Amino acid sequence: MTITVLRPGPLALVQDLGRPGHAALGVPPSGALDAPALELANALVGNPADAAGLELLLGGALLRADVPCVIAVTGPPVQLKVDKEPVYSHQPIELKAGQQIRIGTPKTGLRVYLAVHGGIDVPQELGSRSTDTLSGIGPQPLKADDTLPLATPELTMFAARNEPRTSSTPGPLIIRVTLGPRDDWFLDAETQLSSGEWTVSPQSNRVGLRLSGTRLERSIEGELPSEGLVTGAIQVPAGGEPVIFLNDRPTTGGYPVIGTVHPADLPLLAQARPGTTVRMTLDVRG
Amino acid sequence: MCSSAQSPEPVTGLPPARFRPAGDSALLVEYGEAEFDLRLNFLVHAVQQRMREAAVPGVLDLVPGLRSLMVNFDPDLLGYDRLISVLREVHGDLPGLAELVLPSRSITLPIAFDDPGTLEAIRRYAEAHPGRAGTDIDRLVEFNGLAGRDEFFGYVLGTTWWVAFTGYFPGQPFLYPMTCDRLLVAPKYNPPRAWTQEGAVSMGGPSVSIMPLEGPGGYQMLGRTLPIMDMRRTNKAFKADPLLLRPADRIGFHLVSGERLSELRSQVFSGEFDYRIDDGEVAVREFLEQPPRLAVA
Repeated sequence: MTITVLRPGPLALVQDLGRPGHAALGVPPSGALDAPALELANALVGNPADAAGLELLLGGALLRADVPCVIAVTGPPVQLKVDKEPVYSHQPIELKAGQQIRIGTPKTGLRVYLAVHGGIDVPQELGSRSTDTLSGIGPQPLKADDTLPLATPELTMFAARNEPRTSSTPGPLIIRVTLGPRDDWFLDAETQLSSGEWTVSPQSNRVGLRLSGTRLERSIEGELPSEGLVTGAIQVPAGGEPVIFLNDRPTTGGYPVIGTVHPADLPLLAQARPGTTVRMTLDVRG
Repeated sequence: MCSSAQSPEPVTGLPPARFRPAGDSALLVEYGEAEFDLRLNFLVHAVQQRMREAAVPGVLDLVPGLRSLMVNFDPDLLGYDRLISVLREVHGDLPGLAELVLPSRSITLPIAFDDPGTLEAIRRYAEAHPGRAGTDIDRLVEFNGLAGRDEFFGYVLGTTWWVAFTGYFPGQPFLYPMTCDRLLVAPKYNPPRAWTQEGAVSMGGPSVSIMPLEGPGGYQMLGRTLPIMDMRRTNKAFKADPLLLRPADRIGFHLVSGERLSELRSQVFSGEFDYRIDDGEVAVREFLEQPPRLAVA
């Protein structure tokens, strides 16, 4: 029971919900950056939320079902074809053995998710099948002719069609942040964060979203002893332009973290293309 | 809105703790004021150990920093107020720095100074940044005003190194001297280096680090040691855990030639090599009189 990668597109990775709980050893959490999109794809094919699927950067992949299977594609709206026949994203799609699914390039957003009934059954590393791009833990990025084993499904219930979430509306992306843990190392952190404006830099990846724009000014100079980081940490390196850490982040860092992005807004950042305008609004914790 | 950080609060017989929220599911606990000494890191490990033993429902992960502990928790199971009160109880129950005894493994690793891979990384950097001459060790000898390379080798080989915390890469240890007469320090590469070999032993500030995999780097390169990460788990040292080193381990280096290191590395990959790992403990009392006081790294 396999599916075969005929063309991986720009970057095709196996992702589940990651390997949280290993940070004490220095292992990044990894996992799907737009977790709700993977969870929806899994729900559409009757998988548990944490089954492994594919994260396809800018789509562009061509896959072949080697056995009859049911798949679903989520994330931003994207054109799909089974052999020559157009099909919809965000709904279960039945593939016969030998049929090919062609995933187009989304017009908005960045990351397309594909789940297959049963889930992708590559070996787990530290409790997860996710590829960690920082350390190389987990399967290598997929390449042409890779075959992906499928697990035997437990359920045979499929959800109905869902609408794509409006995760990639045009206009500035406004994300909610809380102050800290090191906002007191900055001059009036609240004002600096809420009045700044940034664009997503092309140097962004699964480790972090680099922002270009307003430089954040520190009130405490000097070096910070390395301390734990969380996903969504807004870290401010020497140049003052912030980096927002995503799932393949390191577990510790030596630059101050002025604020932390609300977890519900991380999937929006996962879908933010380079050039997207980003603003921040202060959220009261709890 | 005022700052997220609360004022530091006294901990009986211990440096003050400061609670710094990091979003709605993490709390950074910082110990002491800006000045650093290694005893603060001992305290971090003591708190981590007791928090583990307490097995508080909702605590997901405890990540040591140099003088901080990041507590990741599930906000559906545990609130800030409850977590802080648990931490206060743990602080209150600690016996005081002098009485702390920490479980600590002792691990001996070979080191080859200026091995071929180190020299290759230096050559590549010099190609991109003309004007940089000599090896990194030569630079550190001069930077620290030492008589020669042997004095520097003696420092690395004669010091017991403490794994204060791990990360940037998985299992990448940051080592601080537990015992030394004089602290040596290293400036960082500016700009950073694009390539560092796996197993590279390097130094930045007072800290020495080992690369679990190849990658960029900013520390001065001293040489190379054995693999400390093996996801394929070919050697039995990695059977239980693909990462060799953990926070609160002690590391000692012994000198080998570049050729000998290559042989040892082959033995690791063929499964023949036995890493020397001994269980033990560290009594903080021994470090109270003459702690290596470090500048903030």
